[in-house]
Amino acid sequence: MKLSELSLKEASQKIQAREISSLELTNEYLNNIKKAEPKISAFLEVTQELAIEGAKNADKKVKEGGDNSPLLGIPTALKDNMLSLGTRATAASKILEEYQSMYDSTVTEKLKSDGAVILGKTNLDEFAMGSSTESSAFQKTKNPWNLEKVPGGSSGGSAAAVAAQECVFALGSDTGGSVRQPAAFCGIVGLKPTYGRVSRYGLIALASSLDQIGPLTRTVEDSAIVLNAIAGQDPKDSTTAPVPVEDYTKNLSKDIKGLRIGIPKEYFVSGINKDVEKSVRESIKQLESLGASISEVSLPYTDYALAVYYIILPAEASANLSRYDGIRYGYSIVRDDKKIKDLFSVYSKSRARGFGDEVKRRIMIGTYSLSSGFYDAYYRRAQKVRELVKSSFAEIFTGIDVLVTPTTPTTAFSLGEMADDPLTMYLSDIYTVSANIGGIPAISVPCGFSDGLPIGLQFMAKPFAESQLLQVAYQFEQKNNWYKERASI
Amino acid sequence: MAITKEEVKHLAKLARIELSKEEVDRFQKQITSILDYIDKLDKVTVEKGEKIVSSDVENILRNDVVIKSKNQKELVENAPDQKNEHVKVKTILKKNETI
Repeated sequence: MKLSELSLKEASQKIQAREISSLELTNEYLNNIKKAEPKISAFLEVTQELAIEGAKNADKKVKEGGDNSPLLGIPTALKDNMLSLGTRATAASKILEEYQSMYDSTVTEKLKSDGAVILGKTNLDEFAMGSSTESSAFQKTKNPWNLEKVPGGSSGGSAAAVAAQECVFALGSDTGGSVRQPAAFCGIVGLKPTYGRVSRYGLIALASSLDQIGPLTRTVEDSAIVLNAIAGQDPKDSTTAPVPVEDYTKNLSKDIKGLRIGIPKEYFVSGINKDVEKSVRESIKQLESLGASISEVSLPYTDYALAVYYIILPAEASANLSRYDGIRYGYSIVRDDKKIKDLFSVYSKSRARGFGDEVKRRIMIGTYSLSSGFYDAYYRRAQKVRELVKSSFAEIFTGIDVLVTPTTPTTAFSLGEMADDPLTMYLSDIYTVSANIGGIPAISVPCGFSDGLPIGLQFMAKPFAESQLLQVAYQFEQKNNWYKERASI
Repeated sequence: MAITKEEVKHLAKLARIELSKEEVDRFQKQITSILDYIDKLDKVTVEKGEKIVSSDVENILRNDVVIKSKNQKELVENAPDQKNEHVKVKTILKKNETI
């Protein structure tokens, strides 16, 4: 067995037992990156020297003994909207093309202090706006299962890197499905924790009331291990919750007899691909055979959640992205055009050249919905419907424990397929946005294939019930062999 | 709801993004189709009233204690245009101009 076929858990055990060194493992992944990148283009930056230095430090710690962190010596990758000293942080935008991380994000700091080895930074849709990673200003990432398909987005680089065995695990950020949808498209596990579970300090902000960082891994157990490392309250992010961090691995092996699982009927309507529906229905039968009690439930605002999302997200994004002004940091027109005299032109020309289409569109929609005259009709109304979505989740979770749905209506679509049609692209988020609107945790796990492309099954649970979420996902995963399938590239 | 080209230009001005004529045309169509989609929220009955922030959110305050921040010099060096360790900007107010 190749070293890069080991799960995080297995690799960690071998490092701790000194059967392998972190340096051997890191070198194997650096080799995989060299071989895979010409086809996959998952990475925007590979920090080979830093990685080798990190691996040597980890091996030293193993030798000294006493440090049994499961991440010690494990090679990982970060979505390029997270700050990590010694790397750039571009958010896949020209406006930040040369921006060097000024500090470590909290998640990076936590990974580093646990001894993880950072291999580099992965591609994303520009500022995480998109569902295919095609809006990156720098490159198009390919799906390792089929190089003509998108990897999903916006954490498409992280998902593809894990699926192509270019790292053991990766971090992504999920604002409307950006961890779960690419995980589903690439046949891996993607977790969006509860809003407030993981600190966003040092994450380049998209929509602050929705953004959450989560792991992309090969197995559910690996997901729990990474969550253990990154969860927790952070004084640098006031939205993190003072809820104690559990050991998320401890309930995994418990059976799910008697677990109450709800199937929201609104998720099985027109637009869903037949193979996706079939796999999800079969998965539900399996959950039943594992002892869960299944019932159909209704989430009446499902159809409106996406509309709420595409008002709130652009509104918050338009405010968050006002900081890219050509003055404080990032790209500025003053470098290219010395004749510019007025301040307005510095703003408007720097932003015109620095931002891509999707970012411009969303900033303008956000500006529109927040502008006087339209604020009540759009933003205020969306916030009120958001409360209805949240309260319908709260009500549902009094009678059931976990919801099961498809992660996406289809499998990975073709590169370029939706290039001129932003609205159709938005619709691919239809099953994932509700969890962000409601602030609840959700996970996608592989549940089958259609024409050689992976299908994802989504579980959702009530706020801070990650333990239960991971438990049911693990029980389902172990009943199947989907997670053992590897893309051959 | 359809949005006019003039409105697109106005939005672009508010958002401080210079648009080409081709972009105005394209964004007008695309933004109109997105607004048509989100207009479906009109069908939802919502209560009148002011409350739009959920009740489980509250302010987090910290003690008023000075802590060391990032190196100011390093941060200023990030600015595309600088002078004497200050961020340089174009003239904001002209002579005799008021805002």
